[in-house]
Amino acid sequence: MKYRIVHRTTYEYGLPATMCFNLAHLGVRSTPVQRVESTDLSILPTPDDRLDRVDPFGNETTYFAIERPHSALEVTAVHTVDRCASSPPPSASSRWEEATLTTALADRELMLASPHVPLLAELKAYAETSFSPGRPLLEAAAELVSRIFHDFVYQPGFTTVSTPLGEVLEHRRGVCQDFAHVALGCLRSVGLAARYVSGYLETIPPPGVDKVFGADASHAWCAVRLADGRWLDLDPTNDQVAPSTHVTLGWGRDYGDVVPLKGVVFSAGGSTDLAVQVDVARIGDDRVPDVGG
Amino acid sequence: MSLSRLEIRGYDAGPDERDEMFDATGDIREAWDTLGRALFADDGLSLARHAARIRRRLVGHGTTFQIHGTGESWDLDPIPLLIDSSDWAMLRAGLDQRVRALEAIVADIFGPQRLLAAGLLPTDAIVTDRNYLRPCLGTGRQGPGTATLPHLTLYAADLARSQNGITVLSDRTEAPIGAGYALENRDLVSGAFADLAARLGTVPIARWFIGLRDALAQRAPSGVDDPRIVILTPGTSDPAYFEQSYLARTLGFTLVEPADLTVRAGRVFLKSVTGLEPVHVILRWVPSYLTDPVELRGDSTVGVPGLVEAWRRGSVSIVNALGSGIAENQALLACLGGLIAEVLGEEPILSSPQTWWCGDPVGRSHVLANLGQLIIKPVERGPDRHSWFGPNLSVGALQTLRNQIEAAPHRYIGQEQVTLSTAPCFDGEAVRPRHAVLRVFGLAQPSGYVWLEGGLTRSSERPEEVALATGGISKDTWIIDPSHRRPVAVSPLRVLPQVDLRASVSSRAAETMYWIGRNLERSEALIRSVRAAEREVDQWHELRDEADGSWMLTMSDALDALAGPPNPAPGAAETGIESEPVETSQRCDAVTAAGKSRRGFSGTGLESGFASLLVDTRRPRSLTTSLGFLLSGARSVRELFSTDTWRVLSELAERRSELERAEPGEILDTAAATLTSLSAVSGLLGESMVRDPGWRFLDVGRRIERALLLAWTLERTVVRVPVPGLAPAVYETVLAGWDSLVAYRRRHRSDIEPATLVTLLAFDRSNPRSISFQVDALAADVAALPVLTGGSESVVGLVANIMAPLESGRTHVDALVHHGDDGYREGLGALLSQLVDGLTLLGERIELGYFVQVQGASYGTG
Repeated sequence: MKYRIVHRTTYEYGLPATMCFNLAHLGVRSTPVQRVESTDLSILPTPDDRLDRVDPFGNETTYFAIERPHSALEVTAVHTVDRCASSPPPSASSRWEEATLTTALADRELMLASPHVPLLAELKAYAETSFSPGRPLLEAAAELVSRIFHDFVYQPGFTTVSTPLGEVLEHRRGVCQDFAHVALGCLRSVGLAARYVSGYLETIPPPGVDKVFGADASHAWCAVRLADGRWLDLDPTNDQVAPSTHVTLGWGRDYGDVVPLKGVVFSAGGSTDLAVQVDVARIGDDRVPDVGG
Repeated sequence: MSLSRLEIRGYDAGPDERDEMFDATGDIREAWDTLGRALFADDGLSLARHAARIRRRLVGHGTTFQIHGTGESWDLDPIPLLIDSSDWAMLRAGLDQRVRALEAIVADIFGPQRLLAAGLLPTDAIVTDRNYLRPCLGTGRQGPGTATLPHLTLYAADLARSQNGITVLSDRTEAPIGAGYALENRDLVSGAFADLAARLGTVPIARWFIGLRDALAQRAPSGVDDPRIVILTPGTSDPAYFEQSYLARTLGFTLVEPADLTVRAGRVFLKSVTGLEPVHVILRWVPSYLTDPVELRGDSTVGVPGLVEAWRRGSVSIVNALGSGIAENQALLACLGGLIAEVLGEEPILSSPQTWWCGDPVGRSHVLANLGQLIIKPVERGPDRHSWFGPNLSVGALQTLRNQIEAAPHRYIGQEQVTLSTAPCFDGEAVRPRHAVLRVFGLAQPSGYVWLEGGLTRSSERPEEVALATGGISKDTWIIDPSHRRPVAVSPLRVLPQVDLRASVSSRAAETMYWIGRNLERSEALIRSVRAAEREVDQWHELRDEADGSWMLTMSDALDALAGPPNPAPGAAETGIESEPVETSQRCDAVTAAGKSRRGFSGTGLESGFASLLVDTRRPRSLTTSLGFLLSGARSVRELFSTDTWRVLSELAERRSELERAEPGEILDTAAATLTSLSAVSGLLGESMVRDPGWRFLDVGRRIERALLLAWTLERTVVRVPVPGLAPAVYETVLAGWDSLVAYRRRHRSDIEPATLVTLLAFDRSNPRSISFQVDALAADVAALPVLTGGSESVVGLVANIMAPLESGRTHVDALVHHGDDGYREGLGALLSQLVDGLTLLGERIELGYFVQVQGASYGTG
């Protein structure tokens, strides 16, 4: 399936900002199940300084600075991505303990606590219900994802990007990013390597309703490393394992490694209006799929 | 015959402990013999004298180091630690080897990661270290150009002599503090023992600092011949702020806070009063992981946005390199010996206390099995991280610790306890053995590491205090080399000549100087005026009641204007230093309110009214308020002041705390003593400061304040004609308060006439207290200030606007003081209000033009 994705972030400042320094994780990367046909990041006003590079996780990142007064900032990413269907690889069916044996450097940092994912005792207890000894990883992971889906309430606005994981656990509420962190904490607590994935998911309007441009959202889920080094996507927000409709932007230890857009703005004060528009549109296919976000 | 330990009363090192001064048989070691004879022969009498002298100089220098926020001041033992040159040669070789291995480890982590990938480093401890800065990975080198520069330009190690010989307790690679304190200690102690130091053959240490200056200059990006080097401090609240400003002054570099720097087009600039000036080398005291809120911790308040990007591009060098603190990870101690063999192919010369990393299954089981005998430390060092001494823990505490380790084993190490040797220490009464830890300092030069030949020793009765750097008394450290014996002591090089010839004043420092000037003047003017009023009423008791207390009402109105009316919110005037633009505008409002208020001393009696003017911190310009702003401002730009100036500023701080403690009856006397200190500060600032932009801003502040306060006083005392009969007393008080009474009497034998008073205080260009004198000085000051760009109205023009009415008024004094039946001198009132408006506008224009800094705010999208 081929998608055209538009992700536009707009800041409007009540009083002009004098300068801003920013880091964007908005470039899409190629993976075994998705091919990037084109990708473009345009910034208005044109930055005085801009440099694209690849971060240590292999994600496309952009540093940019606007060093003159500006009353708005508009960052637009446009990607064309060919996403092929995926299914759990055979290695997902082996005992989960086998996947915990990796010592590779790149995996170690995904097995330990990270700034947004402390390995709280509750997480381990929650995970062990599903990760009983000798169980196939796929089975245990699918159950974990399903339990999170049913035990937690999806409630936008209840949490912010800085809500600690302990509070999410306590209230059992949050959004995709919180559920991804919960799943990461569970998987790491039992000794698995797991990464946070930032990306997109197409939303399908109810039958008879026209899709509105920009109504989609950026999404987050996680992936667990299998014994053979391959990765299995797990989406606790939608109770999905190895979904075929997710488009991956990038990954890291947790949200903090792949914040779509962050930085420092210098201004004399005044209000700031933020608007984020995401649109995920199919190209050359109008078949309505049966999965939703 | 040599001294034996028995000859030093009460000195008992104990049979099992190793002592630096005495050997196991109780005989004094060779290097200590001369020192021992000189210091201990008279039963501690000369030591007590030296200790007192050092103490006085310490206070004078204002040396401080907050020990983990306790605010304790620096303490220095008079007895140095002696190290003989053969021990030192061995140490140097061992340290050299160790720092080469650490440099290789840091270079690997931020470069190819071969050691890390091969599992030779404690992976889990490294990748979770806050100094494992992901945005800096793969840089592989520090700094610009083709040359590979070391990450660890500076290195320090804490050494102790234990049962295993000399051992390295810990390595300091992130921002190795202490060399400045070592220099300060040498300065203080060698001052006391210059002759003895020379006789013993003490190796001087100043050369190392010249090397540091050169090394920093060599770090500049290629093609920069005349690099600007700055010292980056987190600010005055940093425990080691004293050292940072001391180094800035000693090395001649500009001391900057994070907000003084800005990044443009990937290059770092200093926001100075003359505009943006490029910065090429940063000696960094801000922790690496806080240096950039864009790429590193978004919640950092001591970062420079864009700094990491600028550094990655090589437009600026940072010393030590970002992330260097990774080599302080305690887990490395468990494998460093093996790494030295692996990386350098050498046998390790120096050891560390035996260490087990809990991230390794073997290490973990050893630690958990021996928890009660070991010291347990988190792998990352920091003020918020605690260590545990196993033997001190209860059964319950041990279990808690065990659970903590098992939950995240890679975050902990266990370490054997070592017995630290003792060295003689003077406790105020006698010489006693105290455990000692020595910090030594290395500097990377093209030819290899150069070591400061001395160091910073800390000693304490309790070994864990010095081992963990949580306390203890510091000692100077002398490397004894007979080839350095000289008949006459060569005094140490205290202040090195400036190399940063373009040393510039940051906008922040300029603003601070300006407010120091204003608060200095506020303090002086208030004391003089209160004292004059108090003397007048003391001399003429009837002034209290005559004409319904009219004199008292007039004077209290004038004095209230100087000190400002009490702020209803207690302590509100005490918040923060005066650098916030918001506060500045609040202050202007308070000034206006004071100008309009017609109240007396808030209904209190005369004496308590005087006291309130001086010590009521709710008043925006009371003496204690102004002194508080003055002192905190001075602390934040201390590198701009000479040691002598610091000495008098320290006295002033002492006066301020006396004022706070003073009984009501003592306040006026204490204030008079404060005036003496203030005069000393003024004198030194006037006579010993270079007329650079920093001094200009201070002087501008003083002149504006003096002219303003005098104008307010005249508005309240002369513009409205006093009650007949009381006029002489009012005029006399004003003249005395503005230090012009003597001058007046010398010129005029008659009663005080308003016209002559106004001439002397407003128009006389030869009277250093007059308004005209201030405006003339302002004209000279603003002409020397950098030209403001983009300003519609120049500050030079604003001063000319103030001068014009003075010029015309000078020739029409009689008309100015003329008053109608309403008893109001309309001409003078109009002139003064014109002056007040002009001065206020000038102050605002200077603040907006030269100082205003915009605040940055972090953001992140979900």
